[in-house]
Amino acid sequence: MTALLEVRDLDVSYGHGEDTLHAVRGASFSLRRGEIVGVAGESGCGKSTLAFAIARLLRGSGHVEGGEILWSGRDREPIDLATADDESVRRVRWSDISIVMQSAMNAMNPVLSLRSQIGDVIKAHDPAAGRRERGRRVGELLEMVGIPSARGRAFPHELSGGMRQRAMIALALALSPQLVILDEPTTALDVVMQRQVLSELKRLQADLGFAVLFITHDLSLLVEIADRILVMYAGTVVERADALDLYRAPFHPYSRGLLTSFPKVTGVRAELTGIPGTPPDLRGLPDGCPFHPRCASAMDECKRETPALVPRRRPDGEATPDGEATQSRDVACLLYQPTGRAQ
Amino acid sequence: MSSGEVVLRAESVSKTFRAGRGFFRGGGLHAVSGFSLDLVRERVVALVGESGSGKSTAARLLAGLYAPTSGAITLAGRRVSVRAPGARRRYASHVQIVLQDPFSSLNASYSIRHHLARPLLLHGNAGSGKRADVEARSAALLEEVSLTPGRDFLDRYPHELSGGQRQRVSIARALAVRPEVMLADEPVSMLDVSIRLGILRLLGRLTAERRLALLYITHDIASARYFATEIAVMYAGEMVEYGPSEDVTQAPLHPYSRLLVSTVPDPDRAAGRGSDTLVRGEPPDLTRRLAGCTFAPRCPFAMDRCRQQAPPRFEPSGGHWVRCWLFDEQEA
Ligand SMILES: Nc1ncnc2c1ncn2[C@@H]1O[C@H](COP(=O)(O)OP(=O)(O)OP(=O)(O)O)[C@@H](O)[C@H]1O
Ligand SMILES: Nc1ncnc2c1ncn2[C@@H]1O[C@H](COP(=O)(O)OP(=O)(O)OP(=O)(O)O)[C@@H](O)[C@H]1O
Ligand SMILES: [Mg+2]
Ligand SMILES: [Mg+2]
Repeated sequence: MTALLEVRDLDVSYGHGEDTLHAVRGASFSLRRGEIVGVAGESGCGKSTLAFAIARLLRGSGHVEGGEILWSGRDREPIDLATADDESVRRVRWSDISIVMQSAMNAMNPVLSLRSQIGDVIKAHDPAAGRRERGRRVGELLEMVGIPSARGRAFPHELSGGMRQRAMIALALALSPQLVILDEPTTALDVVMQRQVLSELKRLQADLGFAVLFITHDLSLLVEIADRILVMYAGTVVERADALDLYRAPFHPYSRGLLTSFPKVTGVRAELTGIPGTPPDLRGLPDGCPFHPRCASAMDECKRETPALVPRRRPDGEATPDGEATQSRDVACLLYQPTGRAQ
Repeated sequence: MSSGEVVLRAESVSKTFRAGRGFFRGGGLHAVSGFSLDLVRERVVALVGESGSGKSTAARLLAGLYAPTSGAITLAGRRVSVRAPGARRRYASHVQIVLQDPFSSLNASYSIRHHLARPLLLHGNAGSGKRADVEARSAALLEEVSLTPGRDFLDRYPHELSGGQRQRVSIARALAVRPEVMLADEPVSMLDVSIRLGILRLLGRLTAERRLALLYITHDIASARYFATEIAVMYAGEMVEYGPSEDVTQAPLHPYSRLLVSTVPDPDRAAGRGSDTLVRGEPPDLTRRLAGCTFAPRCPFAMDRCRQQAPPRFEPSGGHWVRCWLFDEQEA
């Protein structure tokens, strides 16, 4: 099956010249129809930039410096969203890709009621729908994300943070897109609501078959809902694996750090360690592997050589519990590369 | 409630929003009802609860951003009023709030430098007040919240920062004031575990060193367990449970708290995907006052009594109370 979206060696920067900040560096991944791919990583590592680049919504001085974003939408020739003209991108964005931005809480029009904003979007996409029909759909969408339809009359400032966030999710799903990009969509939701919204997402996804790019800092959430996970560090994808594989056996030392620093709500109150050191300075990354200054397994080579993202098994040859599933594992770490010595 | 020096106290505070356009039937929307809470020096209270349950409204009431419809808020025993000229700034030097949405809480037209220098100077924490001093202090604040190198961020504008970076600037700005009380509304919701841990440790250290009282609003119950001394659970505008954080997370009493704790994402569960116990239910209608318990319409244990009479507090074990008829000893 061909991929719906294929991102190859994507480079995205902010600013020019000396001050250039390379927010995404050589990111590659693909997204198949009906698949949920999660993107996890530290604050500031380039997750939103990646999302903005795909939707061609980069802000300020942001620009794509290189790479391809190949989109194969329905009945269309594949187009490269990185280079296509604005008009074609706009068409794709409206009909095929919907995005819930991280700023969703703040993204609504302050002078329109919830109901009219959602109604307007439905109208724009489906002019044939009558007033009644629109009203019914608005109510349905709101109920789907746990907002009583009577609250549709409220204005954005009269809603709680999580309600605004949920309204934006409902809106994104309303338009039967082929790809939904959700950037930190549940930061204001309690876990019960989160589960309700995610199960609605999964239900709709099973019905309609859209693909989801789900961005979150919360790896434990991704393990539950994503099929595959990309772990980003300092603008690059450092590990790409099936969700459960990653959870059971993270390869990259950074992924391992992320998974072991989670506080647990049940069981013994273990000491939390986190990942030592400070987040990298994207304007002045160290030579070699960007993670090496914080990495407990760093070797001398790591200071010189930048590891590429390549398929690998563990150096000791040990497979993860689901042996065959590990085929799809890629990791950017010298520990797993032929030149690298195993510890 | 708890021993120690109470800095900020809410006594049976309620907030009802009345919309000008008259679309709330009857008496408006009851966002917070009968909210009582003590914020004590060197202690962290976590406020958890359903989206829309009134957590942010409670924080805004405590911050003096909303006037209570009824009830009283006292700072060090004195009734709070921020109406008088200059009163708001004076109050803000004691009580700081970190707002929930980092995309609207920073001013787009000012640099990060301005965001930090202003509170430092205004509240007299800028040392000599000379430019170099203010800059050094601002950069140090940024490094404390893991924005490194701090100086690199000073001349950036909010739109040039990621979501989690903005959250950290908001925290740094509140810390610049050196308040006695900090009301942090989902302050780390966009931060990954590692940075989150760093920030929570920082806040934990400051509660001890500066004898800060902290309200930590969060949906991350696991972090509340680790970081807070007490946890308060909100549902539909009411506090339904309160107790030491370990007790509330390990032995939650209220059916809503139990639901909350059992729903925390757990990757181990992902193995048996699809089997999640779905807890859909009618969201509460805050425009209506129910005769009984607000959770009764969704509660699997609801009895007739629950629909007729609002439960008072029951305290089955010391310092840990719940508003639920299931704990009425007389009945049992
Ligand atoms: N408009 C901009 N101009 C300059 N730098 C920017 C701009 N937007 C983002 N950046 C920088 O690019 C880097 C990546 O930002 P991005 O928003 O993609 O991070 P993120 O992974 O989404 O982080 P978070 O989890 O905190 O939202 C950050 O270091 C950020 O400061
Ligand atoms: N200014 C306002 N006018 C009218 N209603 C409001 C206003 N602010 C909040 N509300 C309503 O009050 C209720 C409580 O909102 P609040 O923001 O306190 O919830 P919250 O617990 O912080 O939720 P979240 O976790 O989603 O942020 C919600 O139903 C909300 O719609
Ligand atoms: Mg982001
Ligand atoms: Mg809130």
